[in-house]
Amino acid sequence: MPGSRSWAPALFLSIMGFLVVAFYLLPLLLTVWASFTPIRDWRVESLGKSVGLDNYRRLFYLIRHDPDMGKVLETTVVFVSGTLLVNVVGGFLLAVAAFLLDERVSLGFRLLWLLPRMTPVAVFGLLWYYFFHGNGMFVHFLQALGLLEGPTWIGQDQRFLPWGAWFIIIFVNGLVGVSYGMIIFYSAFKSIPRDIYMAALVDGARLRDIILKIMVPLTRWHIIFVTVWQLLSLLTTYAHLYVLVEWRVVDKWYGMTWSLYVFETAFGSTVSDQALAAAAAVILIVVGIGLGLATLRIMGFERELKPVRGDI
Amino acid sequence: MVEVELRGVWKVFGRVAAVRDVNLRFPDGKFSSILGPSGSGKSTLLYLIAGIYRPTRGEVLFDGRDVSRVPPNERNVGLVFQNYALYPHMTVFDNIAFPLRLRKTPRGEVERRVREVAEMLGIGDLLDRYPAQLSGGQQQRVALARALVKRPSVLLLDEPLSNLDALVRLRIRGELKRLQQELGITAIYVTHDQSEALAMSDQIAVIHRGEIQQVGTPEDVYEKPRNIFVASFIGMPPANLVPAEVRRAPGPCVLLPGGGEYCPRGGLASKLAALGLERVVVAFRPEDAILAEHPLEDYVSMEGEVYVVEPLGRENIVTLSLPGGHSVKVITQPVVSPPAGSRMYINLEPSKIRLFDPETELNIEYLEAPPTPQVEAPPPRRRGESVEEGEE
Amino acid sequence: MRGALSLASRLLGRRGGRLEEAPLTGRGFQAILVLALLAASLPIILSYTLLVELSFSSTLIMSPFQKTQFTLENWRLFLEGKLAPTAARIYSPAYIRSMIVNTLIVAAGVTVVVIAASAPAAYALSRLRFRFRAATLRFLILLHAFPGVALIIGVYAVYVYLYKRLFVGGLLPKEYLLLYSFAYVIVARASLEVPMSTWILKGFFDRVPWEVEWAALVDGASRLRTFWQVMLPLIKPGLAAVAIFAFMAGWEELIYVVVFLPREAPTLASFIHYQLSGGSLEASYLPVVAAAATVYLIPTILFFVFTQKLLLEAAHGGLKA
Repeated sequence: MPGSRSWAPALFLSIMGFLVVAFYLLPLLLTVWASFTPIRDWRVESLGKSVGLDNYRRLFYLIRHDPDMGKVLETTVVFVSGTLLVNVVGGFLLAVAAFLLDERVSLGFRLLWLLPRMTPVAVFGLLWYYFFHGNGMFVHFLQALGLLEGPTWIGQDQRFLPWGAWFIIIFVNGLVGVSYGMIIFYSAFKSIPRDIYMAALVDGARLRDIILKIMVPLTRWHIIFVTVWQLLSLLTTYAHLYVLVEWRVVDKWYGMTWSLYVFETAFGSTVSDQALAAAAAVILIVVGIGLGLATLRIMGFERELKPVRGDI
Repeated sequence: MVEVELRGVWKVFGRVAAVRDVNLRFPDGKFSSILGPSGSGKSTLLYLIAGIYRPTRGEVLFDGRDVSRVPPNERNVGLVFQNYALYPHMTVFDNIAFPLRLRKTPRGEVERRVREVAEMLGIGDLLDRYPAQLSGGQQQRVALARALVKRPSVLLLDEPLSNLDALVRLRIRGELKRLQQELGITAIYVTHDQSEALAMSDQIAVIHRGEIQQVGTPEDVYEKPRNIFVASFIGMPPANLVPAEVRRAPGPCVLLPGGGEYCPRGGLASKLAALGLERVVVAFRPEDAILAEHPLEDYVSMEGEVYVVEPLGRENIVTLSLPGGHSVKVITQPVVSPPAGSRMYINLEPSKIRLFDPETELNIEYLEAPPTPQVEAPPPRRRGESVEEGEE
Repeated sequence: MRGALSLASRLLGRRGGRLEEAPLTGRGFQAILVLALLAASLPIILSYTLLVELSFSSTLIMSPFQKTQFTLENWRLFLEGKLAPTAARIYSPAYIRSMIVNTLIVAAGVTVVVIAASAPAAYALSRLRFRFRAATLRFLILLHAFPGVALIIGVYAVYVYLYKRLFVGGLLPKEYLLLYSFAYVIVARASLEVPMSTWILKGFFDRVPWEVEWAALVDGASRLRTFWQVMLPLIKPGLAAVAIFAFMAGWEELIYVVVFLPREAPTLASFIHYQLSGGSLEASYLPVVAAAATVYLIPTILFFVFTQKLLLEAAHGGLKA
């Protein structure tokens, strides 16, 4: 097949190509490389030395013997599975509600639920800083119910750990993530031909049947896609968690997932152990690539690939 | 102006050959049509001439110069697309001026030439509008103006009328033909509409499944279809096709269903004899048959049963079924309206009857008789194989 | 049955068909649904309300229902750089202004870099034939999904390395350090947006009819000119969408700003962060921080008001949890 004039693709792709090499490929190599070196405190000269698998040994030693590391792993599992559940099930329910509601009301709610996603991390953190403040609205609410007395930081208070911290991080990230599923599912519902809903109604289906026997099966792939994609996102996200931990809204270790652990280990104010962070990051990279490839398959990548026409 | 020639051109997309071994010449200054059903490869052929596609094999020549590898922006062709492809973000003026500005034409000349071509096409007062504010016919003229303003050596038109409503289409059809004659430009016109091709062209190339079926004047293509496809594609309604047996002795005669007998004379008779065919396909046009209650003298007659009469105002179309289950259509005067079920005779003037070889689907007139009479049948040819007469 | 009927009336439209006989059931169900959704949305509504209310409040309120007096004092303090009524002027008004400008610089910079990189690349991926086209597209999705925290270590290592070569090595005078930091944070942060932006813009290019492009090429335009004069103007809505998302990404960025920009040159994000992190809260005054946060939220709100449709439709893949 005769190609385009050879310079054209290279020219058009050049800027993106440079950014991809400089800010993805090179850093990726460096991170993997750093996991075999003794780099600490950003002494990049240390990247020239090798310590073999030492960092991985240290990492696994910590996993086995450091109770804080145990908390990180526990938190990662609980956070990822809990938030995933909220995002997928909550997103689905929101989408169903938005679909059933009158268009204008529906639009209002969809926008309201998109707001957290669009709000800057610092502001969003601030909102929940107030909300879960020792004397904040949430505590007021619990006090009104008679469940609590006096000011309490439920994300920090030993009486409520670990679930107090876990509740907060899942709550905050759930609010951010739930709109993703909502948008995808909502447009999927909209794209099902109306005749199908009508036919079901004529056949005597009730709302529950319509949801379970029509909407769920027909959006099966959307559900799988959202689940895998959110799984990947939750494993790698850390900005909101960082703010909650740094601002002392939640307990340091019960608010820290694996991603945040990598970040804190590399950039923390007390630790600055890039070698260990890199080793932890490599594990994340492996999982990330695996889930990314799975997403590609699910989204039916080939369909998106429209052939090029013409031989110019 | 140039003469455009395609030599042995193939275009293969993946595993599908959209154009197969096409040899065609588009004479300088003439209006040529490429006529075929949708998916026949006619637009691909046009895009090969424009340079949007490069031939997989073969050559595209402009005045004998091979331009197969020349990109479209260096071919100096004007191209009008079916959907016009106007630049929606530019005014009519800017649309038409675009090709000139790309050539760094001086500002004054751009202005003059755009106005000139716009006046010629009657869109001089629309220059400030945007394409979305124009009717289909007006958009079509803008597209034409944009193609003509650069004084192309060949004007390519890809179904330019198909998006217009019927009345506008008729008017622009006439204008287009007149314009081409006035400018003396080489025009190549792609269409699936046989009436357009017949009305406008100096030369028609019929294409089907990527292969040229026949090249000739409108009269040739209409009166002497080279194969069954051309006969059945052209005409409204198309030619009737009836299979028939051949009686070899004494002279070769075709035994039509419904009792008629057609014994050709002269060259055709000897060809039929030499070919030694046992069966042929008889073709005749609906407008060439005379419907009567009796067989007419000097005519070849078939008896059929009237199935349905469709009155079209100016004429009636009578569908009859022949023994053996074949149905044929005959165009009659509006007064001729036999009741369904009645038996009528279809009378054909012998000179209007065409015979086709059922094997090769070729018109027997175009077949070369085998050199020696011993040979019973011509070498088997599969449908669609390239044939000698493909080149004009 | 109520639900089914309401569904039916929804599908048929308000004035459609015989099922209109049951609008009451439908409305009743809708009302229940609205109430349920409102209850679920309550924390969001209350929190945002509280934030804005607090910035106009004379006392530190902990819920929107607490009684308080309306005041512009917090806004005055914020704009004058005083973070507590009693505190001396901690920051100058110029500092507050530069903070907002810094945020704008990062946001605008990210927008420019994202568009400059992804528009031409998207065009090539949509329209040009070259080896590895499919592979490149697939690769872009993988990049978008890539764990950012794994990259930032390498990205920072390069930053440190270049810093040492440029400034410690003496290639550039120290005055350029801030410029270097800004340039680096902009390009680094923009890179994270480029794969998905390219993917979205490719979708817009895919929708432009091929004939329009061919017309330009037949008219004598080069590839570059076709891209610039014909194709780019035709995907303006897509460019706008991508530009807005890039701007918002730059505007809201916290991590990269905290990591790469010096503490003396904060954006609104890092400013709020520094006020609250590590127990430094005692020195600050929440209502003033609320004013800063409200300022920070303004583009988001504007964005919401003007681009509702874009947000809900065009942005599917561009969003990450």
